[in-house]
Parts: sequence; C-alpha cells; structure tokens
Amino acid sequence: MSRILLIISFLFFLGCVKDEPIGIFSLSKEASKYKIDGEITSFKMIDNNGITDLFRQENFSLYHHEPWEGGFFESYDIAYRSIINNYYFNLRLNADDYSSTMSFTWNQNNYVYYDFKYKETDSDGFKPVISFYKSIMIRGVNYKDIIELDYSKGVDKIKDNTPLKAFISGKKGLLKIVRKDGIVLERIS
Amino acid sequence: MKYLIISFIMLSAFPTCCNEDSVEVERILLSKEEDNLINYTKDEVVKFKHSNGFTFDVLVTNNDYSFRRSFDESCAECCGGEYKSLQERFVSLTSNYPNLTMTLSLSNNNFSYSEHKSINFSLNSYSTNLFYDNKNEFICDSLVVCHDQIKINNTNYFNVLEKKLDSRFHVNDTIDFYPQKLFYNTTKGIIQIKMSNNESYFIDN
Repeated sequence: MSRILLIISFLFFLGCVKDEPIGIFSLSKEASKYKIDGEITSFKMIDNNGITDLFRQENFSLYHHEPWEGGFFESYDIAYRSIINNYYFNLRLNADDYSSTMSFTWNQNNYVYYDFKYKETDSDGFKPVISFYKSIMIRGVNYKDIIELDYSKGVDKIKDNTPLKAFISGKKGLLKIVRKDGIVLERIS
Repeated sequence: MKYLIISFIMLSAFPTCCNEDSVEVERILLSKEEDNLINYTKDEVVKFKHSNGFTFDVLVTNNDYSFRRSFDESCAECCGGEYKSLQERFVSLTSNYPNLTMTLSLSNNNFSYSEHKSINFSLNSYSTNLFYDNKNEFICDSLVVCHDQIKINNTNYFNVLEKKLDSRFHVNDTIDFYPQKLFYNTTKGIIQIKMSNNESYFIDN
C-alpha cells in the first residue's frame, strides 16, 4: 500500500514540474516590426520654438540569451540620449516560450511594458494607453509601423520630462514628443 | 604547525591598516579675487534666450563651498597621515526647458594636468577648462580667444573668453550637432553657448 502511495505522490510531483523549454524562441513577426534600425546612431529633432536637439545612440544589442540549458530567448535592446534636453529613451523587445514583449524606459524612471500575445500593458507608475498605427506623416515624411504612448489621462501623475505623448516608428525610432508644457519635438533627420 | 608558521609569515608580509585619524596641517582658502571669477549667487534667476527667440529662466540651484583633503602619500588617509584642506566651489545652473544643466567649479588645487588653475565648465556632457594665472587673470592662448569687446544679441560685453567645448564621452563622426563654444566673463558669467549649427543660447538682458 505504501509503495502505491509513493508512486502516486511521485507522479503528482512530476506533474507539477514544468518542462524547461528547449529551442530557439525568436520575436514574433508583429514584435519584429518594432526593431529600430541599430545603424541609426544619431538623429535630430526640432521643437516648435526652433530649438534643435540631437539623440545619440547609447546602447544597441541583439542576442539570444540562455536562461537555462537548451532554451534561447531573443532579446533586442536599443537606447538613445539627447544632447540638449538629456532625454533618455530605451526600447527593449524580448521573446520567451510564452510570448513576445516590448518595454520602454523614459529618462530611466518611467517603465512601460506591452505583451504582444495578450495585448496587455503594464507600467511602474501611471499606465499609458498604447496604440498602433500603420503610418504617420511628420514634416512631410511618411513613417510606418507606429507605436503611440499616451499619458494624457495621467498628466498630473507623470514627471515634467516624461512625454505626454510619444510616437515611435518601428524602423526609425523616436519620431515625435508632445510635452506637458505644450512643446512639441519632431524628427528632422 | 608548519601551516601556522606559513600563515604568520604571509600575514606579516601585508601592511596592516593602522586606522589612525589623519591630521590637517594646512587649510588653503580660495582667495577673494579667485572667488570673484564666478559671479553667481544661489537662487539667482538668469534670463536666457535661444537664437530663434525662445526665452527661458535658468536658476542657480547650487553655490556650495567645500574642502577636499589632499594627501601627499596614497595610503596616508587611514594611517594618521598629514593632509591639506583645499577649498572648492561648485555652482550649478539648471533650466526646465530646454533642460540645460550647467556647472562651474573652482578648485584650489595643483594636481591638474596643467600648471595653471582653472574653472571647469560643463553643459550636460560637454565641458571645458578656463585657465587662470597667479594674478587670477584668465590665460589667453591658442585654445582661448580673449575678446576685449564683443557684441552678442545686440549687447556689448567686455573681456570675454571664447573657448571650445569637448565631449566627455566618445563621439562618433555622425554627431554633427553639439554645444561648440562657451563665451564667458567674470561680470556676467555664462554669456553665450554656441551650437555647432549656429543656434545659440545667450543671456537676455
């Protein structure tokens, strides 16, 4: 009798242990659209007062990390910092055995997370509305695969240098920033 | 026993930290003339203007004096060594938008790579040194243009230094926009920051 109980217990615990995923888990087709071109090492924006700022690439990496033996998860990371306004913008795309996710960090203090599979948004503070558009026209240039981060409903809950609205293109990166004080910066190069 | 002896020999080979308080032997203050090279007071608001017309306030957020300990020997700090206290001054100015952070620091030391003392100026990640001599007069050389008089934003300024700014980080060739030059004098302080694309930020009288 005790042997039967032991076998049942063993089978029960065996069922609780999840198999570690083995294989290469790459970003989904949808998530891959938002890989900013890592060869863009700098770009300029100009505001509605004629003040120019330049964003220079601070970090860029694309690799498969191995959280456990035999499972490789794709990870894509790119960051820019601006020379005048000291804006810091980081986009990270991650794939695992469940889903592909995207996260943004503004000025190293506002973190936003989006899950492509479950269409869920999370953040460490006020949760912005994330919208996706096929294209947007800025200063006569048509950009594709657009992400909009909109903090409008939490204007009093975000810091002055967190964009009230931001538009990011899948390949070109940051395109437009709308600040709380009404100043708008747009991509010019 | 053999291991005990070996351990004792090994331990005795390393100097022990004597943990004694160090002793101040001299306190060197910034001279009044030297201090006057930076003419800002805390909470002062300086009006600035961008060359395209946008005006904004720059606030003096810090004007702090402190002392830095200078030891003759590297290990003297924890072993009752002697040190000199050198007075330093640190001034910072910030604006909300554009989000400029400018600092000026005056350090009463002689450890610099130059034989002369200097004011260090920085704007975000760009900086430069303005060197001055023992008479507390700025040094004009091939790297510094000294203007007896210069007109900036329709105002004449006197005894103005013009100095190129350098990035504190590696900058690749694609960077064609950056803070290029500082214009400074002892009366007004930061008069103008000229950008590489001819935009500029200047004081708005």
